[in-house]
Amino acid sequence: MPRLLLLCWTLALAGCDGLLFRTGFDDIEDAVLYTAETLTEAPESADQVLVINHNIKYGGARLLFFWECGGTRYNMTEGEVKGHLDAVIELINATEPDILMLQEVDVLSQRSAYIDQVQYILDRTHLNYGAYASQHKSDFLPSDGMGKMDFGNATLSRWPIAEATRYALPLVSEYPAYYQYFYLKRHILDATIELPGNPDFHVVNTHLEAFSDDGTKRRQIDQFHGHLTDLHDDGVDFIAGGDLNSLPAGSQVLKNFDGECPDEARFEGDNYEGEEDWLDDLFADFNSLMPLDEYAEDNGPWHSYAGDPDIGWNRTLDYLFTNGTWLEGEVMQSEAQGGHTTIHLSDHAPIRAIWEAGQ
Amino acid sequence: MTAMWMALLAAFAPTAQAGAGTSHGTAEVLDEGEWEVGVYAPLRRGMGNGVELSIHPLVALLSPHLALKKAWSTDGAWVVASRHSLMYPTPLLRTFAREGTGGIIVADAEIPPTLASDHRFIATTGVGEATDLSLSARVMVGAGLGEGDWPSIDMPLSYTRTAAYRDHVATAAGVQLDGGLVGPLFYRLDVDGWWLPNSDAAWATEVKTTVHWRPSDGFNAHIGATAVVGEYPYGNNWHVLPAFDLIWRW
Repeated sequence: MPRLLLLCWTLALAGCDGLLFRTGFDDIEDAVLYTAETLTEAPESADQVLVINHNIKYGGARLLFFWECGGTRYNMTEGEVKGHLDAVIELINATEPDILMLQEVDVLSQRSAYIDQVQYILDRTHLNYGAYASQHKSDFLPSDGMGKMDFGNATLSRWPIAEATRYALPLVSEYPAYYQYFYLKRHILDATIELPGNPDFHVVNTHLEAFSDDGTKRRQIDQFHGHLTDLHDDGVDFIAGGDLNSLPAGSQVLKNFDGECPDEARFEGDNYEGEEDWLDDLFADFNSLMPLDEYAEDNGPWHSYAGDPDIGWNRTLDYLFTNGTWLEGEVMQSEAQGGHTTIHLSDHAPIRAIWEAGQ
Repeated sequence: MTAMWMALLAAFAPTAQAGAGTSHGTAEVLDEGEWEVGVYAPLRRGMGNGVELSIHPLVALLSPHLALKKAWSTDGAWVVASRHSLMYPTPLLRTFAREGTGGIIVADAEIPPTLASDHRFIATTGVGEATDLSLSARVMVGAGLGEGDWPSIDMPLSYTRTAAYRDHVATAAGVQLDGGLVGPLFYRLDVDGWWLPNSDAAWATEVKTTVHWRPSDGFNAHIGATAVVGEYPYGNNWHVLPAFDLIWRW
């Protein structure tokens, strides 16, 4: 009987989705396009393109939220959000990327004081255009007091974005329907940027599932790989990446990471065993900023995630790929590696890379 | 969990579905000894002398309250009544401030002991042969008894009805039409405009449309929808919520 009621409730929710909670997406739909309040002149040539990828934890910096080990925070104040975003903006303005790929960006969420973070960043940097696709949207999320939620991935650029599309990724199939209805819905954000001399340049941005035991993350990786393969077969240049929530082959630690909360069931430690080869096809078929042999030799410089800033960067979750050529790049871990202290900005480090055109 | 959701639905049902009974939203008062109760609508009893008491038993467990409706004039073209309720919503709000599924308010919210009252003035008159027109004015007043820090509930119906708890005052004015359709089928159209002078979001409009099936004086089933267009702290938005109830009178 309870299951029948849940089923009825879920069907009712789905039937009324456009009228009430609005959590759903089409399989393929347009992304939301943004323009900065004031446009800044963009370079007329793009022989080399500076790219930065960064998961900015919805402007939460190093606050410990309820969903984190030892966390107690829920909603942020407007001052906190702006302060954290200003620190990210300081890095952006210091490094001046041509293209910025962001994950975990809030655009209209109660937890981050309803600040549209895409517009906030655009208006305070040299970046002119943005494309945003939500991965978690609900007019009201009846869980943990989260209320209105809209967060996802964004791609920002100096040059115009001709079009941007949100491609839905598989949902976590092991969750009950009502939970799935309100849960995160991962996607691929594909933005076509009018690069000087290359008006069909694609930037593919994603953030894959962190928690699933049913192979969902594997299916999402495969779809991501398939999307890039299609682009390559169509003869277009692309850069692609984001937070893949997966470790590459050659990782020395797959579980029992320092700083986890093994005693609390809610914070079961991350375990990547059995996933070691899931990214292999991406590395085999495209050019990764991070050479796998270098990584296997020493994982440390490529670590891009730190749950506890006192413990430091301890795993690699964020990646950049291209079907072209990377000239150079690194995970911006610190003053010594990347030229900036970044561990206070988010639980992920920015990745900086220079893409070379015309190769 | 289920009980909490029921409480949430019931808490807002009387307002979401004003008109669910035969006289909700009108100036009519139950006769002495008369009872009425709905699945979502409150339990009401006519006390005589134009007085009616109502309480929602389920909601009262977590939000103690009592409402008194008094008819002031029943002889003229207009029937005039007022309805006054006193409530202590603190336990209900604190129940909603929780972790996990069903958490409507963040768990670290500091909700002070809160007292609120709700006052409505209603006038009803006949328009034509089988249509009643009701005009209403409403003011909710609330006060937290101590320091508090909790976010607004930014969802339709809830935002307006909890505004007085946080921001001390909420006001509304409404127009309701009750009329016959065919045989035992009746309609109710209720339009309410809210003005929240102290809140981040200042206004909302609710349009409730229901079709009622009344096979007898003792039973009423209705179904319909409530459309809400309003301002929230994040901007304007609109929603449509289902409305239904089963009401018995004896």
